[in-house]
Amino acid sequence: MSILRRNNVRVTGATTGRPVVLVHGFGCDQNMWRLVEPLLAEDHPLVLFDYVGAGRSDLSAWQEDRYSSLDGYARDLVEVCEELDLRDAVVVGHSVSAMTGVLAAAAAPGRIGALVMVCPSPRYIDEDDYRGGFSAEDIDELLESLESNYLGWSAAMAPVIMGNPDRPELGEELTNSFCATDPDMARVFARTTFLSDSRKDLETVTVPTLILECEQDVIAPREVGAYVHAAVKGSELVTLDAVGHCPQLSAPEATASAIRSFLSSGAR
Amino acid sequence: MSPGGVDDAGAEAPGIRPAFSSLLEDSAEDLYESAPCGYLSTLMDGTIAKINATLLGWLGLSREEVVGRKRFSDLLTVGGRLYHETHFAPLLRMQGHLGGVALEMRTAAGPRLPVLVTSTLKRGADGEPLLIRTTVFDATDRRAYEQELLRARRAAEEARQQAEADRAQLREALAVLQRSLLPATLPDLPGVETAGYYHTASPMELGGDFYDLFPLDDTRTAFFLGDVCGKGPQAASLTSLTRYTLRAAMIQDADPVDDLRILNRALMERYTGDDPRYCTAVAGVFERVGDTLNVRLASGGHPPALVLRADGTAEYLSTRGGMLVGVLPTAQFVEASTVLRPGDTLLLYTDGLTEARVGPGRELYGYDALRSFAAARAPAGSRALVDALTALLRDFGEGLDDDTALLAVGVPATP
Amino acid sequence: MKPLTIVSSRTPAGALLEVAGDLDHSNAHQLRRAAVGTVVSTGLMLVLDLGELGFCDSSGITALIAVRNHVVAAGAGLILVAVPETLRRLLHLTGLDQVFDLRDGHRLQAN
Repeated sequence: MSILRRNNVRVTGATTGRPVVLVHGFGCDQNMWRLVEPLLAEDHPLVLFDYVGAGRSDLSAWQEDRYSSLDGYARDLVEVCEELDLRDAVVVGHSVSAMTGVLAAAAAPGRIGALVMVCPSPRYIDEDDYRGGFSAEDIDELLESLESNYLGWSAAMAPVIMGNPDRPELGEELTNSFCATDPDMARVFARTTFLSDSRKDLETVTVPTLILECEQDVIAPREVGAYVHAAVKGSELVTLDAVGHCPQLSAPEATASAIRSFLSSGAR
Repeated sequence: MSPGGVDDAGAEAPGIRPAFSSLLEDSAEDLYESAPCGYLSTLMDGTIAKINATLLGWLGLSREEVVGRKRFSDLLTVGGRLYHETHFAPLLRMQGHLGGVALEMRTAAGPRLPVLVTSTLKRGADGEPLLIRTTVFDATDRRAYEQELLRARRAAEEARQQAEADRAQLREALAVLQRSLLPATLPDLPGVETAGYYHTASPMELGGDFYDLFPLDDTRTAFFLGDVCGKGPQAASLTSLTRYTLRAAMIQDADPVDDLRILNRALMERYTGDDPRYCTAVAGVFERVGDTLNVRLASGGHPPALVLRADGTAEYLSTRGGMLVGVLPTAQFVEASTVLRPGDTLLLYTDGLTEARVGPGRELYGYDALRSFAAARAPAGSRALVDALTALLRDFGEGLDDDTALLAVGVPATP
Repeated sequence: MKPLTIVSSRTPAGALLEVAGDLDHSNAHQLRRAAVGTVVSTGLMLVLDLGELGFCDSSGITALIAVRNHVVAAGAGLILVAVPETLRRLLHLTGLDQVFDLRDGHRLQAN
């Protein structure tokens, strides 16, 4: 199984220039970048992919133990970089993938030369003085809701009840969406994401880093952005005039222009 | 169209018109506020601009608390909010429409309200998204129903796994029992090459074939192979009786015909009247004299043994007239003998082999085909012959529906 | 798989059972029951007409042996008539052609 097929890798944009890898977070797949993609495509080769278990990746390559830790997702990212023989690439990671990018940069030093962290959070759960925005009970409730199929496409219930989540025609029906992942795999990703604690890993970052946060984001509040900014030496923090957790969709121009100016100035 | 029909077209039907009128008087505003589902409109940042009375009632909130003050995601449980931010909101942006999403809302009184949410993006003339219209359906009953179905499904899945485990355990027990009816390995005999094979037709059913081979003294070795009637546990108990009876008889008295008579008596005594149980069997003894084996064997209703010679021929060793063992008190058993020289091999088999169905016409494999198959391989050592036949049995595929036992005894060719 | 049918009738020499269809473990007990249900007297014969018998496996053989044991115990005799070639071969192979009285070729006419 080739890595390119496994992770549904798509290479687009300019043929020369510094490569930019756009990495989706928990929830959707590479389609999350569809509005930002044309804004960066002129100057950069762009690499998009889906984690195993998400989007149009090869679900048969999914292993629960590998994808039960962020390292497993980071390995997907590193393997994609290696497969394309990327050097000095810019990894733009959304949400949990901002942290995946940190892990990958440490694992493959020459290949990843700069990080853009879009709405990052190294830890979602409040702990002592740290404010992640959620209590442990909140996260438990989310995970429990996901596990009981309380959340999501109601049509997704049918295959779960019928016990044939593999029936592709049901998959087609219920999606008409880009976020339709296998419910079991999505649950593992959710657990890994929301229980992770990557605060220590922030100290390992040695490459130029841009942190993008939104004015109002219930998942990664401003306090978390400030925490990340303080923890990553020499990082740059930009607060976008946007609401929600997905500025690449709600404010694509602002997102792309922040990335472009970061790359044209200090990201060397 | 008037309900009165074509004859009095235009006539007014008393009782219909007042109801129709009152329906028309139902204002769009009232329909919005008191609709049987919740409505709300939000700005692009999620701030609630409009919400209907139905939804406010479900949530136990007042309009003042909500409009301009809360975002849609504030109405959700924490899990719902996370799901909204990671899935719902981005997808709505990308697709402009999203339907049938299960979320949970928080009510002022405490309990969660399971809902099904559908949202549509309203765009301005320039295509810019302006606001989000959302309908909310109470899914309490549906959720309960889904949970009941899930519970039933889990129970069914557990039952299936239990049944699967039981089957595996049974298969294992049967395999152990089946192996106990066969020698674990054949003894190493100087100057003699032996090989055995047992094909199990179904792992869920005990077969009724058996064989054994054991030394009587320094030069003589006893062997037998046979097939009991029937299948399953009853066949296994008959096989066990047969095997140990023959073993004991042959240790005591190395005359094959006498041994089959003893077995006949034992079976007749055990199974009587209208529950006859019987077997077919070949029992024999070979004695090593120099580099040859003198073989004496007797058959009770069993297919004839096949002898492959060093010169590349194969012939059946006729034991015609030998009768089923366990049927008649006066059963006749027929003896035959042969001498195996270097390169010669004696093959015993059960009728699973010759009764296999082959080809598109599903014809009997038969004795002629077996002899030709063996002759084409002669001279062949015991191991090589049994391996070739094992491959043949495998090739029969579906055509082989019976257990099959093979036992070969030969003198290795002189180098 | 052809269903098993057993038609019973009387002849001056004794009883006649015409057995047609496939005889295997699923229905062999029917043949035993039919034979046991047929009153056979000392010195008389039970005739099994097997001309229309199709498939017959070891359960069928077992049933034939059981029928024979029953008839012999009653002091009567058993005759197999119009035995199909495959069954004849099986009886031959197992030496049972010496136990059963096989009559070739013709089928007895039922009265």
